[in-house]
Amino acid sequence: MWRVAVGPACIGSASCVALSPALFALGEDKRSHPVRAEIEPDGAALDAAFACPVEAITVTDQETGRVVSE
Amino acid sequence: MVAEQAPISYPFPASPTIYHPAPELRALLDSRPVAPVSMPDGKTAWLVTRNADVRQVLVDPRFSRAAASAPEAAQTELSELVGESVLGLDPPEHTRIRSLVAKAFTARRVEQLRPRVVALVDDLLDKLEAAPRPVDLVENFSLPLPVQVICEMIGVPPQDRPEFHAWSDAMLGAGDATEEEKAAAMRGMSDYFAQLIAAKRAQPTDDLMSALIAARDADDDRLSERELVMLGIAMLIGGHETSANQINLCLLTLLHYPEQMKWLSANLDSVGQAVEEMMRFIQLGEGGGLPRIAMEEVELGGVRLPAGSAVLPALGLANRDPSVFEDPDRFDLSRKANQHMSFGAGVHHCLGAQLARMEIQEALRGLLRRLPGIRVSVPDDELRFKPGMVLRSLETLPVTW
Repeated sequence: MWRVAVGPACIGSASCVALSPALFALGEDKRSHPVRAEIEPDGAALDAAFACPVEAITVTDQETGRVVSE
Repeated sequence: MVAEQAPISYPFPASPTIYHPAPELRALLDSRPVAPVSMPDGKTAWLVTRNADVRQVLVDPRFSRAAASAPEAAQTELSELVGESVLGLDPPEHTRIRSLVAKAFTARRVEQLRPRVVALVDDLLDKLEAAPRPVDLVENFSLPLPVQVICEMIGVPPQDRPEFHAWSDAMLGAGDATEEEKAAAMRGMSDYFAQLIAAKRAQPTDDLMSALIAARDADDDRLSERELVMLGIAMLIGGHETSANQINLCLLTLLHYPEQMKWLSANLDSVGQAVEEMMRFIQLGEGGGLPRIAMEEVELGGVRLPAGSAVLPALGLANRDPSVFEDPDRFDLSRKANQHMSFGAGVHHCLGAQLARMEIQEALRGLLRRLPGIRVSVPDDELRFKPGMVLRSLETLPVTW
């Protein structure tokens, strides 16, 4: 499983929400939040992480602890 | 049809002041937040003004840029220019191209460029101080700064500015450019980039265009030659026209609100927050942003938009939405948590947003620190904006101090 996190650098550009609406949503605070913190490995999470203008999204492989979004 | 429901027509009415949206458009936020617009070709589009609705149009994948760039779609001034570029694509094609350059424009990479930008600002101000007054801020500061930065980043010779800036202006409609003139400028710019790419392909340099050429040559499914040219053009134009004019408008707005200018001069450490308020308040363009097409029936702001509807998201009006911004028509540099829409949102969120922020911050910090008594030497009604441009673009901005 992968763990998806959005850090405090988020500026609410919503690039991730538009790219991968199943994985990210804007909260009341107009910042992005993962819909679920744990997901099956999914390239859409990486697309979102790579598109983030402030590199706020981290995707980690829970088994190996490796950050896969770098 | 009752009068109140009569569509407004495009192009939109001009605002009597550069500091606020046209009153007819501003009123829509309260009266008709999703309003019908009659386009020059007789088609109907929908102008969306509320912050939440604009955000939805930009983020919800049911609204397509690609469909709005099709030749049969309602045409706005920018249609031809952006239709063929990354601005005219939806995911996954958009993702394929943008991901090639996204890393070069992240906040982290932009911070690494800040010392270089500070040095450029200082250098330009040295020359400005030595020049006879009044001096034109456009030619000597607000334009050369972002031009130099984007040229160094992507690898375009900055000394070619007179040539490519004339094409860029014409492509954006300056001087009420005709379709033929716009097409000729587009050809000029495309040929220029084709030559630049050929030279860099033969002899790579340490810049973004060379990196893109290498990426394309390693895998031509990743980027076609035409896409490479269009991407270079988009970065060059997007990288300077907007920043240059935003710097001009920031200065004009500060001078129009002297107590705010005074506050900023005394609080230059808050220039980051202040630039966000200037981004929110300043009406760089008039009216709608790049159109989208609803790919299925969508309910937006209480209006049922049939599939195929063209929608114009009004970024500058979304920035005046009273449900998001307290006292939205007040210019207040101490405003916090500023959720303005000036860089858009979603997959087309301005690629250069972080770069523009940093350039504008350093430009204003430099101007206010070095020339605290700066003022424009002509009254507002003598300011000359280029006719036909899709953004408020000054011919000149004579300043003195």
